[in-house]
Amino acid sequence: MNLRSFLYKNSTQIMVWFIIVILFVWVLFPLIWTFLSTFKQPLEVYDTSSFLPKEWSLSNYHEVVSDDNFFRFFINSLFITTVSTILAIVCSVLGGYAFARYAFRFRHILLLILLVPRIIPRASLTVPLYMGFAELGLLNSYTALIISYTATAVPMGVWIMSGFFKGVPKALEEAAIVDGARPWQLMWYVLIPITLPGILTVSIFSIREGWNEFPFVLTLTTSTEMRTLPYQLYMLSDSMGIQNWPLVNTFSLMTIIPILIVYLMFEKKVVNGIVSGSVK
Amino acid sequence: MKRNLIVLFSIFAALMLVIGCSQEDTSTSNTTDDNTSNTDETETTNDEQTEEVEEIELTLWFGREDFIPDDAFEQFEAENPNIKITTDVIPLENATEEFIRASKADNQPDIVQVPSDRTKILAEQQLLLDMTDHLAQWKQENSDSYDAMVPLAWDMASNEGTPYGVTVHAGPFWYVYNKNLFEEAGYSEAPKTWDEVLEIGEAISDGENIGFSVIGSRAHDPVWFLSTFMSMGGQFEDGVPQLNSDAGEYILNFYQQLAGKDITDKNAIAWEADNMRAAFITGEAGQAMIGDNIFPTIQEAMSYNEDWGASPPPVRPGGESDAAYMALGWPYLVSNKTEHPEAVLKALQYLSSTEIVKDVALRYQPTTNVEVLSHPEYLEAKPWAADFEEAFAQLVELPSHERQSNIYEVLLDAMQEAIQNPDSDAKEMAEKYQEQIDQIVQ
Amino acid sequence: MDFSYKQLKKKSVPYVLLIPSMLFVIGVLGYGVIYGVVISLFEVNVYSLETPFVGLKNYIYIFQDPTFLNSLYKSLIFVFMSVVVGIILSLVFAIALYKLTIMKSFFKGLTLIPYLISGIAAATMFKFLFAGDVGMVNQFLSVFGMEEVLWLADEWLALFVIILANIWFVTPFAILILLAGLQGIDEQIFEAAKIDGASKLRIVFQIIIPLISSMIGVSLIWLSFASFNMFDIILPLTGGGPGRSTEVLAVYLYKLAFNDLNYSMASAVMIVIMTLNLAVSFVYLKVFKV
Repeated sequence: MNLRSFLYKNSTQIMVWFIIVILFVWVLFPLIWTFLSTFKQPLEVYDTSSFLPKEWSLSNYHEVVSDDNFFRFFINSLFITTVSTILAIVCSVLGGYAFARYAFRFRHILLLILLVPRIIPRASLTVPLYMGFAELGLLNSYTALIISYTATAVPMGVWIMSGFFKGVPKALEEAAIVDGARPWQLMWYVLIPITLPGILTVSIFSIREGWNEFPFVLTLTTSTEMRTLPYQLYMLSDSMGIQNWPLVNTFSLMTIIPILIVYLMFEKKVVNGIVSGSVK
Repeated sequence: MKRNLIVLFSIFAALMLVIGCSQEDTSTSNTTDDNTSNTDETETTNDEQTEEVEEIELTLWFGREDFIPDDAFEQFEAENPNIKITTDVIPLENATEEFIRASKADNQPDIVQVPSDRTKILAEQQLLLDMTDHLAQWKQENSDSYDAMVPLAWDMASNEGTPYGVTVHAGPFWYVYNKNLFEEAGYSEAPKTWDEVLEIGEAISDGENIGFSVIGSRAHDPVWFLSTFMSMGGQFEDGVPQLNSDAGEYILNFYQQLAGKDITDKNAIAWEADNMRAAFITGEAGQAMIGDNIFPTIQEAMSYNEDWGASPPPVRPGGESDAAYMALGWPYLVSNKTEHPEAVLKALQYLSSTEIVKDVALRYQPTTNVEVLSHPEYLEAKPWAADFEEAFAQLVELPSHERQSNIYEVLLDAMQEAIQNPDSDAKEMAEKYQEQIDQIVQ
Repeated sequence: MDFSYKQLKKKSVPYVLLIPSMLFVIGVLGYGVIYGVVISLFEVNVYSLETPFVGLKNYIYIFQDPTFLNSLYKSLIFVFMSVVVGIILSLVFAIALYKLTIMKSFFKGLTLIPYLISGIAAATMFKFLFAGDVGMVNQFLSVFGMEEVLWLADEWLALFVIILANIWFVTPFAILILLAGLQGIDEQIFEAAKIDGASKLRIVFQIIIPLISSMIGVSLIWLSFASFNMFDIILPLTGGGPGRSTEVLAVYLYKLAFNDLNYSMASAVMIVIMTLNLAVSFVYLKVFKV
């Protein structure tokens, strides 16, 4: 086989790989510098001579982990994210099922209401939420954060789950009912296993929401004890002193790692979840 | 369908449980040492105090972790067993807004730390406690510790003559220069005027090094700009900077020359405090205006008086008599909703005491406590401190206006336009932006 | 149990199922919107103690304010460019991923990574990519003997950089939505087109795009919403400068609410952003029949 005919035959795949390489570089390029900088000294990031660190030192990682508060903030983030994700899943499953299976009055209005949160800038919600939670005496509590994070995750979740439930053949449900399954059995044994990829997708989006959220935690909490990882990241970048970028970057990479691990664990299901869920 | 409802119910039960748990969480953790008290609790302690010994809880918001005394109020609590101090860190950048909101929701701390140019806003929102009588009491009972504070300490915590607290820490911006680069360019003395700064800067700039490092971005409040402005003899009327003056034109022209003659970096308009400082510390820049608190970091890279020098800012030829050294302070202000002004006064006295201030000043920001500034330990740790003792006594506060943030935006516009248009007429520019400022404050 | 009761019970099921999600959405987010609308009709700010009702005065003011109009203009450029470039990029990447025969799931997984990163972290990354002579981009260019480009110091280049950063941040999700659409297409259609001898470009434009038009619509809505509301990347990256060249509406709103503490004006801007988002999505819905 000569080169020409090889190129001709495989022209599509060559094009595809060309684009994939671009995609690869595009996604990872910004991350590379950040990763390299985590081994540097504070002022070394301004050094133009080389982007490789002079010395591969793990001191920044050590400093982040050895901070007593890191563990505390990590637990805060973990707790808030976990609870709000569980709540978001429950709401999304129920709401998604309603939209997928029932025709009812106000369906369109309710769907529209679900869209609204996407169109308001997050920053402008902080003031009203503060006033609301102050009224309820919930400032400086996990509850306030959990409620806010759940609320921001639910609309997307309902949308995704409704797509999944539409993909479940109605006949399957009817068969289960004929077999005498009760509604909760139907949900638990039939619908949930089938729509598990959808649930995982909702979880990832909700985890992302809770894990990275910053404006709400900034306004709704004042106590140092209540800080989450993104808040601490903000506190680290201090414009009044010499900004320790390597430390900031180390911290932010370390906050990305847990969510990346979760994502990579379920990556196949999640991506297929988005991919198959939203078609219907 | 009943089952459905049961499922729903259990979800709500779970939700309630979560709410319950987390409330429990906060309330149990409240009994631990360093925690916030919410209003409910302070109220209950109030009720109790009438029966038993006075149990007082104070909440303090610090603008940075570094301002908190080294002993975290241990000694204070030992001396005042009935007072419990809770410290939280609310970044200075957010403290004003957070405090206003918290006050409206009855969730405010007893003492808040904000940048001194925001004292006015809080005072005019009637959120601060008039401390005149308490401060008089302080002066009467312990005049030594009261007099250790320079007048600026009280000025920065006051609005229109009424004091609302005390400013323990204030940082001026000083002029710094790189002696090695000066030598290479054929200069040995620190410049006396801003004209000379430009001249030396031009001599130093060679493509590799830059003559003057400057912040050109809008990332920060224009305090460096205003500090330079005041050293040039810039004037304020009712807290409003007067750009359409000799000093105003001069400073815009100064920025124009920095950019037009490549005395500063080509990217200066995107430079933040960090870039500006790093350029000087790494030896790339010949001169800059840098806060006193950064000096230890410079010292780590270079040696004072050998590699680098510092002095109070130069003056503008013709503006000598109006020249002023500006400082930005971070006062501790007292909330007017505090229920224990006596305890608050004690806390303020503790925060201003030489012993406590010394620790903070040694590792962080300079202070308005003269006893610390002349303390041998301080002078030894900060070899430059002796050269500035006199200048510290002359510091003035940055005048402020209730529309400060709007005025800042216009000043940033003016500064950035000067950098972007080195050839346009500085006078016209000054007039144009003055008009915008006047429109805001009218 | 009488008939109508049973029927009522049956009818109420979907509403009951929706209670929890609606409680959250309306209770938290809806409350925020209503609060915003109300406050935008008053004069609530930090430099006056009174909070009088002023009707539409805040709206009239902002539409005469050159700063706001500049932000609106920059926002429209920012969103338009982000959406146009973003959708083309997403489509190209989605088709490539679809056609990929090996390591498909690896690259699909990789695609979503930017979306998982927090805004502050993403901004820091881009800042040091493009910052002056330190930035990797300029160092890279200098390898090819090109001169240093003042990315963040030039008004239009700075706008370009924030658009790029925004696209990096928001497209992953759009790519996956489009991929979803592609995977829903019946393979036989491609086979038929190939037999007919249709060129690759024709297949893309005349078969693929019309077939996934509703997915394109969804992606467009996603891209515009995310871009209109974007501030957490822009603020640390450029702070709105140089000049006010990158001060898009969301950044302007942030400054009003958090620096000026002018809550009413900020709420009015929020309502404007909401309206723009609604209008844009309405257009997409009509054009793409989502």
